[in-house]
Amino acid sequence: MSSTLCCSFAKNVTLRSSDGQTFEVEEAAAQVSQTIKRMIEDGCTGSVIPVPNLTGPVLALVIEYFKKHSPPSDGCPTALLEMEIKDWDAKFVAVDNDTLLDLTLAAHYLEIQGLLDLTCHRVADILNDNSVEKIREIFHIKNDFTPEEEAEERSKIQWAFE
Amino acid sequence: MAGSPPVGRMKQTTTPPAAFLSKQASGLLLFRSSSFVGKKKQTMSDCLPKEVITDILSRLPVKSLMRFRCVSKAWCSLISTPNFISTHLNRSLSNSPHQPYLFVCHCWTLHTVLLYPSDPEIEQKGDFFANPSDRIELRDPSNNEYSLHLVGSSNGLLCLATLNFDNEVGLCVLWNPSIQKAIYLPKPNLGFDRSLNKSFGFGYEPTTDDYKLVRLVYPDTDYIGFKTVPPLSTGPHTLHGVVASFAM
Repeated sequence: MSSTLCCSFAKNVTLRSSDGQTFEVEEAAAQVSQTIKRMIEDGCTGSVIPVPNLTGPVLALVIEYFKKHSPPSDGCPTALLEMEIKDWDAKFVAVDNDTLLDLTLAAHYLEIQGLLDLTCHRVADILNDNSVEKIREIFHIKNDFTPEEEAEERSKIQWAFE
Repeated sequence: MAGSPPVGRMKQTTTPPAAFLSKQASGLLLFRSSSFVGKKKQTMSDCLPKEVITDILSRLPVKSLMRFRCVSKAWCSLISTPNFISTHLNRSLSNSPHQPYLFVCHCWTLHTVLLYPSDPEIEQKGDFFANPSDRIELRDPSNNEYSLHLVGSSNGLLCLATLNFDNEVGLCVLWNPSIQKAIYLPKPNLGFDRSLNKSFGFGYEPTTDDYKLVRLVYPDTDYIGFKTVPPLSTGPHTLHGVVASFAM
């Protein structure tokens, strides 16, 4: 059976994470990712699709997102369904900071615009609520200012710290 | 000469832009995760690409952004780049379809210009901008014999100028209230003819990505057109994309 023929009948695709875990998911759901969509269109569904940038646990979460956001088989989504998805999205990104950053990166690599918007918005909310020191701690950012440089920078924008 | 009459009305972006920041080279932006070094688990939060950081930061209000310039040198550089400023502005504008009006008011006695919202609800909540960024103290109090007029506003920037009896610009200020920064433009050395009428305008010119202050000169009865003169320098503290030029 040629791979082209295989593509036209395939309902599911298999994704493999960087640590070798495999996940089967409906082809339509996986196409929420533009990257995977292109791979399917290029006829890659005959074998396992490698997703080398994502670990198993992160890929599992992304697949949950795929399933929730796959286009409905019976036409346009209703307003009720949209509201339900919005609630689900809010809970989906209410995770610890490292998982949130992993999901952000996954959305970027796999070109999932909806997930990228969702995670970036959530990260921005977390940033906005925290001090400079706390942000460095949460997001593992090294402060490369010397104490003098930082004091000078702060003095220029004193009002922003009030 | 007490009194503080409103001298202009403008439409203001709800989240004004982070313009007027100095240009700096942008650096690679990393989330470094020292906590994962030596552990089996290696998460991807070690590194976020620059475009993702830009996406995240462009969603923040200006006051937070100014504070986050102190997080690291890479963040400071990124927040200051023209590309970031433009991204932030476009997001702010697209997220603010209903922008409130602000009044501009010049207080001679205090050598100050104030901004206040026309909407009482906003006023009750406190200042539209973080106090005291809703006011600017004028640097040249000797030049206060004429009231400051609002020449125009664009993308959250205001252009204010005094006009003398011959309707010529004297003191001219470009002001970004959201980051509490103002520049005073050098007085144009254009010469003038008292018999001619003059008008001024301020706006954004997308083809050159610049802000322009323009002077139109015309006789009482007829329009005679523009003549461009070289742009005025805004000095070493270059403010993003701001070049003032006069035409006559």
